[in-house]
Amino acid sequence: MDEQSLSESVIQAAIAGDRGALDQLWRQSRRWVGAILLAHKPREADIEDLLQVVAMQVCRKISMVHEPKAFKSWLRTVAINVAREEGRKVNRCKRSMIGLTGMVRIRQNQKDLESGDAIMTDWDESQCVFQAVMSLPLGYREPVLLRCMRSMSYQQIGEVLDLPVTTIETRLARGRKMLKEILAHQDSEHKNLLCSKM
Amino acid sequence: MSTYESNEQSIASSSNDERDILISRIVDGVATNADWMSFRVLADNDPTIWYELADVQRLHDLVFQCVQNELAATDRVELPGGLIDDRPMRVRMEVASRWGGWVAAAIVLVWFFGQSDAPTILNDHDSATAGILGSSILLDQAKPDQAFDQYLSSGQILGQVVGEMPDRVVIETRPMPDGTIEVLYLRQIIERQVIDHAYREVRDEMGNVFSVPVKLSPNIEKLF
Repeated sequence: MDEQSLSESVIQAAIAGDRGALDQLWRQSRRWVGAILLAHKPREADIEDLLQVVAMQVCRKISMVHEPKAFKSWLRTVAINVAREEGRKVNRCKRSMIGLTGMVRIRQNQKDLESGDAIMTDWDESQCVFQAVMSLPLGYREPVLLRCMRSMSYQQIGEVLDLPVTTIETRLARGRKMLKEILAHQDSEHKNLLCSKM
Repeated sequence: MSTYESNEQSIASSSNDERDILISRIVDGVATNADWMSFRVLADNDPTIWYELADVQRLHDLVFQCVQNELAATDRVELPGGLIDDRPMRVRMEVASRWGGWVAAAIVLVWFFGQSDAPTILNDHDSATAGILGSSILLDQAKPDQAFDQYLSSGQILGQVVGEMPDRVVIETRPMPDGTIEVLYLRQIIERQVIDHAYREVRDEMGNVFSVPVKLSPNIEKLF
């Protein structure tokens, strides 16, 4: 059986309280749930922690899913809510707290910033690509991230996002085009920076 | 803009979309024979489409690698044990209705927390250990409450713990089949640290987070 194709009977069994079925369902879903969290979480949040919260919610509330077909979109909603709640917490903390972390790292960062080297030393291709993906509009970011689950077909992405396959195809194509443009823009800015420092 | 120009733009945009979708399908390995034929026709007229295909393929590989790295930790996350709520919704609703709804549950909670400030009757073992300053009970043998009391006591002696806020914050309540209520809540402890350096986290215009030092001076009454 395809790893991502969750048979309705497994979902039904999980909803009815079958622990084995629920474990199976979770193992098949956790990667794409991680991708959804990645798309929605605040930058500072740890994906493993958030996924753990989603896992708890799944255990507690799976019985509220009325029909197996609604499971994927329900699970996506749970993940989005967890990520947004984390976002609210992060915002509250930022408003009221002083960061006391990482003296050495901070000093080093300050030194780098003063010398203007920070941008150059941090120029890492994969980091840039990831930042570019995260700067895509949400409607494009989610399908691009979900498509990186190797075995997830357009159809399955559509089931998670509750969108028709044609929309998924269009968003993937446009998302990738936007990504190319963002990276090209970043690249030219980086080259300009290098030139100005010479 | 005239209607003609607008139509022209929409046709060009639609044609570009088709070209991008075609490339996307090829990169994703889902292109059909008809897609490949269309690609050949396009490539005959405009060979730059090969460069576009190569760019998108490389981009997809890079994104794939990044996302795999970011999501590597997800494989370690298992469902928590023992928390599954395996009762059908109907049964749980019946249990909830016996309590007369969440208002009743809230009243019970207030009562429950109200009791925590009242003197507690301890059994012999508890009275011998819990809440006694300098208690010599080993932490790995202590009950959670006893360990917590020891933490508060020694923390207050060392000046690290100021105290516990009287209010507990309810996160979730759930009626159980046996008529009891499960309550998840936060206990709020106030701790104290003396520092000689402080940093404030700020964001630059690119959204990057970094820390800037806060000037500490005896004249400053409030730092934030």
